[in-house]
Amino acid sequence: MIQWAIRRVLQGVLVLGFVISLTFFLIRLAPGGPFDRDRNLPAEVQEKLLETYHLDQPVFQQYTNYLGRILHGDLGPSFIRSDRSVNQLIEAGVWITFELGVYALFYAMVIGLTLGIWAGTHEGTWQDRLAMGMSLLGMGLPSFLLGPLLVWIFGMKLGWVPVSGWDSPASKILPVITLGSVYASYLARLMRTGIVETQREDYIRTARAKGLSEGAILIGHTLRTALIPVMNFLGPAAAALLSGSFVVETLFQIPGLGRFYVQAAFNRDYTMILGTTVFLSVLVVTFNMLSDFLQMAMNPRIRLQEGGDLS
Amino acid sequence: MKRLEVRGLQIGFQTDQGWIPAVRDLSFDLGVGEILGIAGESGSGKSALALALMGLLPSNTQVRGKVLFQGGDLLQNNAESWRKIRGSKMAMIFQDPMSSLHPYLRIGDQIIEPLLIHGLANPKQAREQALACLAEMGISDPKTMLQQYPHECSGGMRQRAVIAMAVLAKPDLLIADEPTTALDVTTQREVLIWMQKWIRASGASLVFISHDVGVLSEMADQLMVMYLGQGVERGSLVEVLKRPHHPYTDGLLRSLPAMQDRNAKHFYSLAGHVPPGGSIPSGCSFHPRCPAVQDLCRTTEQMLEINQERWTACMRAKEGSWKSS
Ligand SMILES: Nc1ncnc2c1ncn2[C@@H]1O[C@H](COP(=O)(O)OP(=O)(O)OP(=O)(O)O)[C@@H](O)[C@H]1O
Ligand SMILES: [Mg+2]
Repeated sequence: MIQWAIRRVLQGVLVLGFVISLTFFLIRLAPGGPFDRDRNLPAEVQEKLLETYHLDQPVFQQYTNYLGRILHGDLGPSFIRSDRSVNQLIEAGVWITFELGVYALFYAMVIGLTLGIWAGTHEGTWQDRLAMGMSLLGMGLPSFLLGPLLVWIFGMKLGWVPVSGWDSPASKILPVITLGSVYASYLARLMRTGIVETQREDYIRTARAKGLSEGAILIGHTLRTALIPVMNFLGPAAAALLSGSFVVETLFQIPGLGRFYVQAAFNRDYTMILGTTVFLSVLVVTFNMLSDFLQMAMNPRIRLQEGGDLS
Repeated sequence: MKRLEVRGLQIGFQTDQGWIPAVRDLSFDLGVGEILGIAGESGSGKSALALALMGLLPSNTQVRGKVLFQGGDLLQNNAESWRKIRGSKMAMIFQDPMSSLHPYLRIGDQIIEPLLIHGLANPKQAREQALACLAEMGISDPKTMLQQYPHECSGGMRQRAVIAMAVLAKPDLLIADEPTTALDVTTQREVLIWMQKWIRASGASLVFISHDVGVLSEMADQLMVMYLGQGVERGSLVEVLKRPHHPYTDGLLRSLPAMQDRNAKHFYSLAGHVPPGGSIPSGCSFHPRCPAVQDLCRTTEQMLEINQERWTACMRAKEGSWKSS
């Protein structure tokens, strides 16, 4: 099992290395540099700038320098906002992004699991069809459509909540719903399928033969099995929620990481783009790893297989 | 004294092809402390009967008739009354111990659950009872076993776990649906002997279902043979083995390995097959396969009842003449 854990961590490191390298070279392949946008800088200033940021060195040397620095957790200075380092910029935005992601995940779990359990325990009835219809809608509606729709209805027509920003609790409602709905829908579906499939198992009949009430069967026996696919999805979902809020942050003008990232991309702020990518890749890889470990802890059959494969 | 009285039980499954009758007009009694063996080929409705007795049939099922147990008709039970008697007054041992145990729960927790939910013991007492019961059944290290998950145990251990789970609450009625088919012969014997001992000691009654008449002949006091959802013969084990009244029973007995004539060139086996689900022949439903069929058998059926414990669905049994033909 330890062997498996080590292998899993190494795998993660490898993925990170690949993503970082790929991003590094892709950005430099893209036409244009950070200092040649419509600025009309004098030639010597331009050269001076390139020198300060070591952009005059061969690309490969830039690459090794960069790798060396991020091993120490230093993501370098921002090219555009020269007064701040990338680390500082990420720190400024990341907490808001985190907050948004955590609320959205919480919202997705409460709504998704409730709907899924409700549908699964009412398999084949109108309750089931209603819940699954809602979930289908949630999955089919991308956030760049759902967001404006919600803003239009609840922000503008009804005027219940602010249409942008991230300060009062009310201002956080629409972004959270916009970001979380797709995941709520997925979770509802996973939960329902898990319950429906588990309910057909012989051991649920055994539980009934013991004289357990339907509620006790659901909590003590059915969910034990049915939650496993849900848990497996939570890791990737958490990672995606924390890193995937660019659209929502831009839509609602939330000063989170996503907005910096989009700005950085427009400005060709190499280190900012790279830094954010590194940061998010670390997050995604870590969450996926955690989710695998969680899966391991929940499933005794996998837990006991020495080095069991978790694909 | 009666423990269980089944009267005119009908069970039908709703399927895409319409209603499939699984049990047809079945009536029988089970005495206190008695072991009733139920025999019959695959598809004769044995499992459907067992599940009906426990109220565990799926929702696409229609059940009619009466099942009298401890002064009430089980078929009138609501969810709450079922919940109260299942696992405490009546319990079931399922066929496949692997699939009927929860894969992600420890064996110990699964075994003691009936005791806990019916308030028959606190966790500590329940654990001790489980340990004692497993040890008595010949588990060498019951303590470890309680901590294990089903996949860590052998088939024999799992089967004992399933049995312990059913008997710990000391039910009055135990229903076992092919409890040992998954086991090797030696383990099967041990388990059966233990179950028989337990029934004798506890005074509980047992419905023991098996397609293996050989196993039943070692276990049962009474034997009932089912064919296409009907009881075709019922009597004390000795009586039925010695003098089967129904040609189907006769065929089942003659196809037992122990009954085969050593000098015969071929094994005896029943001719023909059980008709596919739902199609019930007219008259006596066994007539297409019956070696002693007469014209009357194709159109009419008749129950011959010597007394409540001895009956047969073969109208020719009284003459005893089918045996010579
Ligand atoms: N859930 C179900 N839905 C539809 N038909 C069913 C269902 N369960 C059983 N049947 C049908 O009911 C009839 C009796 O089945 P049952 O399982 O009771 O037979 P059995 O005697 O237990 O056979 P076996 O020895 O194979 O266990 C069969 O024709 C079977 O196809
Ligand atoms: Mg069966």
